[in-house]
Amino acid sequence: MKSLLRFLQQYSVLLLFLVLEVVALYLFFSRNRFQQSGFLTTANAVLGKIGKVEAKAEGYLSLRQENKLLLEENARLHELLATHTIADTLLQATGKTEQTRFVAANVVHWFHRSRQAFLTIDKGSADSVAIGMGVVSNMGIVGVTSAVTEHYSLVMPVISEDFKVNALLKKQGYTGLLCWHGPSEHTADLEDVVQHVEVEVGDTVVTSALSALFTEGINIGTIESVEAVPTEAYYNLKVRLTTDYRRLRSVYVIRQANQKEREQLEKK
Amino acid sequence: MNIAVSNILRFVVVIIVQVVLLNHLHFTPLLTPMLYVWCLLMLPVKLPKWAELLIGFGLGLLMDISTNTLGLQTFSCVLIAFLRPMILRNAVPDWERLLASPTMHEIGWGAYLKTVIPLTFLHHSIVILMQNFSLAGIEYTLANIFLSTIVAVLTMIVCDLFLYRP
Repeated sequence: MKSLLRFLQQYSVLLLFLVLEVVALYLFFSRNRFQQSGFLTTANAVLGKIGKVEAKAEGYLSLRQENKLLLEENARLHELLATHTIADTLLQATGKTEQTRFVAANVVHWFHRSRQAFLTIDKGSADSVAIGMGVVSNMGIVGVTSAVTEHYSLVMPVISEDFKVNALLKKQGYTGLLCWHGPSEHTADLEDVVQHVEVEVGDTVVTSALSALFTEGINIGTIESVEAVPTEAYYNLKVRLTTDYRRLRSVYVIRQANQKEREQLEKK
Repeated sequence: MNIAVSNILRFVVVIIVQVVLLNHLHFTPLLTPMLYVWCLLMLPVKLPKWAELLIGFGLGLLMDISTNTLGLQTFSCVLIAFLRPMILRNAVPDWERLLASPTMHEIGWGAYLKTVIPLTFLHHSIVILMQNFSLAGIEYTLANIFLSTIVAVLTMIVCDLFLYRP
């Protein structure tokens, strides 16, 4: 017992060092669990608020630009409204369909470092935002919610390696898988498009109906380069993203109609 | 100024600068200087080692929370806090005469660079390598490490020369 105590005393600093490093590594390798709980992330109430103050100060500097974007969006929404009013009255008459809703939110914190990016937005479970909902902006697709607390959520953007979504080549009608391998925050890869489809630079890529997270036809980007390796079945396509994350201020979280039901069915 | 007060002040200012400014550098994703290491490097020389480790852990955790990269910077900060006394004692043979922070004025520029550069480089390497966690795009990773280290070290030197004049 005495020798054990002496040993501990002699190596106490080394032991403390090892314990702290093990704790750090544990946190690192189970980070997804901690992020999903919203505990110890910027989706946390205190840090979210700090981010909010920061975003407010920054927001004033880009008011003019922001105003212009909102006006443009307003105009587009008015157009949409005109075409949809009739369809909606019909839907309401039948009464049974749950409608897709958009929850408006502000970006309060944005973090990007070589291969990891995160947004914190100021809407959470109190506004019925949940994990795994699509997030879009007036520029196009943004990402998916990955952690939710009462008033804040963490969004994993398209430009992170864990993000994947089904995308549609609008002109050709073919779908592929949109992934990101870095390092540019303006381009992503479109995979699984077979080479017999004719793809040109400049073709539009939008979200497909195959994705449970997004409504169909939301802008993703345009084809920036087409590479066809003769020995492979699939193209290497680079997509220029329409969303500029540096200018992102306001976003919408999509609460898909019957999303839970669909997910449960597809899990079976 | 009192040693404790000046250290706490340094921590507060550097953390704010890191979170509000440096974490949002907009030029390129290859430039991610982590200036907060400077706080660990400038801790008083005679601080007990266990306190140094705990401060490293706390600072790393705080930085990780602000960037949603839990455990990453914590790991690196604790390692730096553990290695600093050894490297410092190696660079400054008569370290026992030092009362407060090992500033450039106190230990001379040779010894200063000998402690600051290796530790900052090690910290940036670990954080950026662990974050990328693959050999794909290794050239970007290396560019990221070198660029960020150079900018961080230069900033530290400028702050040091500006704040701790003889």
